Amino acid sequence: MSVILTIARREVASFFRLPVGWVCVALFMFLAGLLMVTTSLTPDQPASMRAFFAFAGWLLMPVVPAVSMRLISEELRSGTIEPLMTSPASDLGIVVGKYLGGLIFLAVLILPTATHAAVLVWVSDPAPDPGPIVSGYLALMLVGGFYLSVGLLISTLTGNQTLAYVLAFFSILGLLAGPGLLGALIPPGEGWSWAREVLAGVAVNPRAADFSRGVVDTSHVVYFVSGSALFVVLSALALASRRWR
Amino acid sequence: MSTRSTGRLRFGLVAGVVGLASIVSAVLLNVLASSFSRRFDLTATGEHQLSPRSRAIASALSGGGEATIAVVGDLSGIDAASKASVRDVLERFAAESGGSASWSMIDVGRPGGQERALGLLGELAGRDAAVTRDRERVVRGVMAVCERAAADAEESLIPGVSRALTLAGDRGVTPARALAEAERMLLEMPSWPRQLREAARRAEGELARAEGGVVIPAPGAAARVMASVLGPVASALVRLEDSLRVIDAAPGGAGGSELAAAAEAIRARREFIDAASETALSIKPTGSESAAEVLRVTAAVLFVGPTRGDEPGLVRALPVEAVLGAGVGAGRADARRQAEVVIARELARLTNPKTPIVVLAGCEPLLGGRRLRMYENAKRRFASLGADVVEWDLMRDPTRPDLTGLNPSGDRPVVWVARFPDNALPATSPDDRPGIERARMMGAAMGALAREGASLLVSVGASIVPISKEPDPADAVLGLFGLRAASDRVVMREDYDGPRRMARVDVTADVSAGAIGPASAIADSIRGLPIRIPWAVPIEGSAPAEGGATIAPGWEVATAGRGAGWWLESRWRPFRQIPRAERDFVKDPPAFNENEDERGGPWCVVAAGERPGHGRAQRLVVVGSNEWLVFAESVEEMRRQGQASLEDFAAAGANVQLLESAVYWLAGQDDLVGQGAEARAVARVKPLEPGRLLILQVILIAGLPACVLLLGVLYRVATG
Amino acid sequence: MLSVQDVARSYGRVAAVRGVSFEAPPGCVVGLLGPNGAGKSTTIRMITGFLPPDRGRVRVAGFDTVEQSAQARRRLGYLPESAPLYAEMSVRGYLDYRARLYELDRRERRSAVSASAERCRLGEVLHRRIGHLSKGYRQRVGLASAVLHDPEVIVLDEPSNGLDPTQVVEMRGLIVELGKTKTVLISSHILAEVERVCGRVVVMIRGEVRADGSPADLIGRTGGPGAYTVEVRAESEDPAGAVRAALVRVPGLTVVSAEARGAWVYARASGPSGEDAREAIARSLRTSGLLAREVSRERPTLEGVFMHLLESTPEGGPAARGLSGGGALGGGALGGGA
Repeated sequence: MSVILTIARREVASFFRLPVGWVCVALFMFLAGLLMVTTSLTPDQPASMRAFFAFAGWLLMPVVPAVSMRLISEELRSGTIEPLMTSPASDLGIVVGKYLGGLIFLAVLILPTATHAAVLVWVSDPAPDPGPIVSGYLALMLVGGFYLSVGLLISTLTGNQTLAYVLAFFSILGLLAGPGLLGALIPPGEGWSWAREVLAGVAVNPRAADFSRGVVDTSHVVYFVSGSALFVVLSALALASRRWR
Repeated sequence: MSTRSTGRLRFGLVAGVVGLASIVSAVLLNVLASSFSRRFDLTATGEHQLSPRSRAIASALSGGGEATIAVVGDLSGIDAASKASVRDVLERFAAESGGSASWSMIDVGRPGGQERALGLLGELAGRDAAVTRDRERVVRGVMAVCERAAADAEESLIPGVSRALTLAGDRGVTPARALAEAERMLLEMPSWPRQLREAARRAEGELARAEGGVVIPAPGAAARVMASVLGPVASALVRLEDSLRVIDAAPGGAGGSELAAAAEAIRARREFIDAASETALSIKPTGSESAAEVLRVTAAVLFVGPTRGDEPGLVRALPVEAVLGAGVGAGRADARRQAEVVIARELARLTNPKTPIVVLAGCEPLLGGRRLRMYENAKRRFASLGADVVEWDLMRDPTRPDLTGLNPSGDRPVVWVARFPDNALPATSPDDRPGIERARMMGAAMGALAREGASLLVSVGASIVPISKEPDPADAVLGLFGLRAASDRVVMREDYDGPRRMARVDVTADVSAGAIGPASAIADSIRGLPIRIPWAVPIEGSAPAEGGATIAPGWEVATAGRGAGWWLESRWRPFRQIPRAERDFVKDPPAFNENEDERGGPWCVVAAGERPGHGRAQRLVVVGSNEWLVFAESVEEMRRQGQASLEDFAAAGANVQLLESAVYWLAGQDDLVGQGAEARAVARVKPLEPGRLLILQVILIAGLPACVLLLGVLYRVATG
Repeated sequence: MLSVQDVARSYGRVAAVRGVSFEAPPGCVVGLLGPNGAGKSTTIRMITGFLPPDRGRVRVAGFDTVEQSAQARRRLGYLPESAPLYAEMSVRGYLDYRARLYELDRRERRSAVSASAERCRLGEVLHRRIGHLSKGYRQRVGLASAVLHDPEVIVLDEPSNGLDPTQVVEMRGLIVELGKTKTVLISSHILAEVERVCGRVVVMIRGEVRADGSPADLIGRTGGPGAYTVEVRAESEDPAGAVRAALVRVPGLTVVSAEARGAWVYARASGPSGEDAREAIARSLRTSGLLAREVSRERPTLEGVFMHLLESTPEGGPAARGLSGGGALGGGALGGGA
């Protein structure tokens, strides 16, 4: 456990020691600000961050790969993976530590948008309902964590960070837009309802939308957490498989 | 392959098994999670939960067979948010019903939607098959009547009348008007056979009605078609018969027997056709038929009740706007609530739980022989909730209505809703009585009921009685609960439009902070809602009343008059006589007068009381206004006609919510008392000056990211 | 204590290491010598547990690197080739991070970091970013991180690679010092370094151990033929021929060359290994009446040994054998596993 925390700690610190971390935060703040201004900060409109959070899935799309691409790819490229993988840290420990580090960084990334919420509270009358804002942030973390785990897996597969970014970006895009696009391809009729159900079950956006409305559904939480865990486990397997190649 | 080793093979196996197991368990976990999911509503207003009433209705469905709710039609015009809200509500209902209610959303604009919609209609038609057959048989009977009447008109009726009229004409002395009328009829009559046959033919068509290849017989429409012809024919025959009898009765009648015989023949035929017409009118459309009918015009929400025994479940079809609340403009925040209320109502109707009987007691003046129809909308509303509504007009019949027919076992709760009339009104016609007398009648009747332990909802308006030191007639009821209506004074508010001073009587009541005990259930149900109480009079606690009843603390449900500018006006009567539209422009509107009036609100305007009764606690809700429902209903009416603004809607919704909650509470069905705000104050972004808004926007979009970057640079410098 | 038993590893169809065995006791610096592509790095990676061997086993301080991987790794310090480090971290930060990875508690950590930093003379750069350090310092940081947790076995892959001569000397000093108490394994292709530093040398060529022993031993045992240089005054008509004749008389000696240049004949000969033939040569020359002004024997070096080993390994052979033998090995291992 302490090894996992050590790795996570190093990961977080490393983000802030490098320009990429700060650029990530700034980029996210820029996108979030843009979204906030266009969707929620219109005089005389209902003061809620619902649209903001409902769009969170897209908001994280360009940012999370920038975080995840470094996680393992960088170690593979620089060779630091070797001292790491020969230290007492297990492969799963390494991957979980990396994931945790990314997750903490993600939280740090999201945290400054609390200023947006504060601004909204300041300019609205009466104060907006805090419930959906809280659940919205929860969604942001869960969705971000899920994306991050996908990015992590991709990051363990290649030592090329650019490739890791691009692959992660398109994987997330696939998760966001895929179900809708595929859904249109499914022929109508009862015989295909299973396919529709599967797609609906996989789709990220409707789940994120629920959170943004202030609804916390345990099945959504399970989806994101189990999905993240699955990709973390697969990442550990992918990392371990490097020993056998 | 040749260099594969144990280690590698073992790793491959383990990795494969672990990977596969992870995937399978993740999938299983999600499948389990979705079937055992719990939802937590984090919104302050419980926006995403069903109210306890809705939940009770939904769970009443379980075990009663399958109920289906289907949203069918071209849904492309409905915004996604509303659709999502409705979907969410439907899902909640389905979940609460324990699987007894299912729902679907069929967009005919989408591929396959049309087929699914037709499939659903076909299924409904199948369920209705037995009923349809019965009704079809009756329809065919009426069709036969049409055919026979047509043949009869051609063969005997027209020649007979024509012959009789010729005879009458020959006589010379005939009442000219009657003769002209009869002759006009005779000219009209030859078109009857064609109309009757045409109606029968169209009815035949309705019986074989098909939508996109799915046959959905429409016996209701068939009957309507024939009734639309039979009715006028019957009334024409009445007029003809009358004319003939007038001619026959004229002095110096020769061949009078001929005329009398003709009139008699017409009467027989008229009765025959009348009966057929009435039969036709009694044929209701089947569920599948009305569903298809609504769907032909608009997208609809179909409520299909569970089948009970041989009886097919009820089918209700509502235009989709009724559920989605379209046209309520910016009321999107309320779309979900609106959907929930309507769906709950329709489901309640389908399942028919032990609903209360609501007696609407009125003692209104007779205006030109017509009674004021105060309660029309309330009646519809209660009927739609599944409650039985009985009207009791004390002016017509002061004896209590007999409810044994509706309540044979006596176990249904009965709620008496009494509106005390304006007692300042004089009698308007010879058979009318002055307002004060009517109010006393009401007081006597309700007082008797209350003493017998009945639960009542009393609306008391401003009154002239207490001025003569006589208690308000309503105190006959209120007194039993330790309350009294201080109805001699009216809550008023000062308002200004520039320098012009106005007195306002449209009071918006706030839920009382001290509403605990009996009042709390109702208070909770209207919390946050603007309850409009026009011409409000304060309700006060009185000295211990007969039977030693003292008012329990927390009887105040809602109060009005918090803050400056409010007072209790004693000389309200002249102001009241000014038409509503002119009141704001009165030269000298009522003003606070230290000697007569009173300041220092808030005053209680809605109160609830409880006292031990026979068997169960006797309850009372009193509203210090007799216009709060009229107002609500008029707005309700406006809304139906699509004119209401959001504000009006919210206000009306609030008052109706109060009415509904009060009735359920009085009926002892506390769990059906709605909870939470039907409309809540939506947080809005304050109007911002453009400059300030721009600054905010720049800060959010550019300022914060720049700050982050700057911080990064500083950090870098600091750490080397 | 490090023990390598018959480890083999192939990448795809290419056998990189084919049955390597050796042992290294504590207090000994073992040099793993071999040309590029000999399988040194693969062997090292198998020793450090980074790669599991296809066959055979490695024990670090008695713990199997596969079966008891955690214990083995805890007792092993490793400096990979070219010392990969996190450029963005400070030296202290990195050492502290490594110490945490080995789950040293706060006190141990502090003392371990300062001790290893002192040992590797990192005091003045402790707060600098690793990315800003010179190659030599980075190598030392790598070494410091390898010895941080006081491991029993230290593995250094090409430790003086890319260092300037002074740094090389320093690095060697550090290794020798470590070797006094620990088992140190260094891989190198610099023969002089290995000869200077290592008490023991394992020579790997094409995935196999070709020699194993102390440098002196190796030179003695497989040191290659003795090479002799003889300078004789040219006095006869065929001075070269005379010299050649005299040399040929010495048993076991082969004349490589003999040529007259002016007044002197320079001859080179090679004799059997492990013997010093100078005396016999001098005697034979004297018998022939020749005046030798030099009879010398070139001292056999590790380089000579190495070159000899390299030359005596048939070209292409190992690869072919790797292909044919691999199947047999694989099959055997499979059978053993079952």
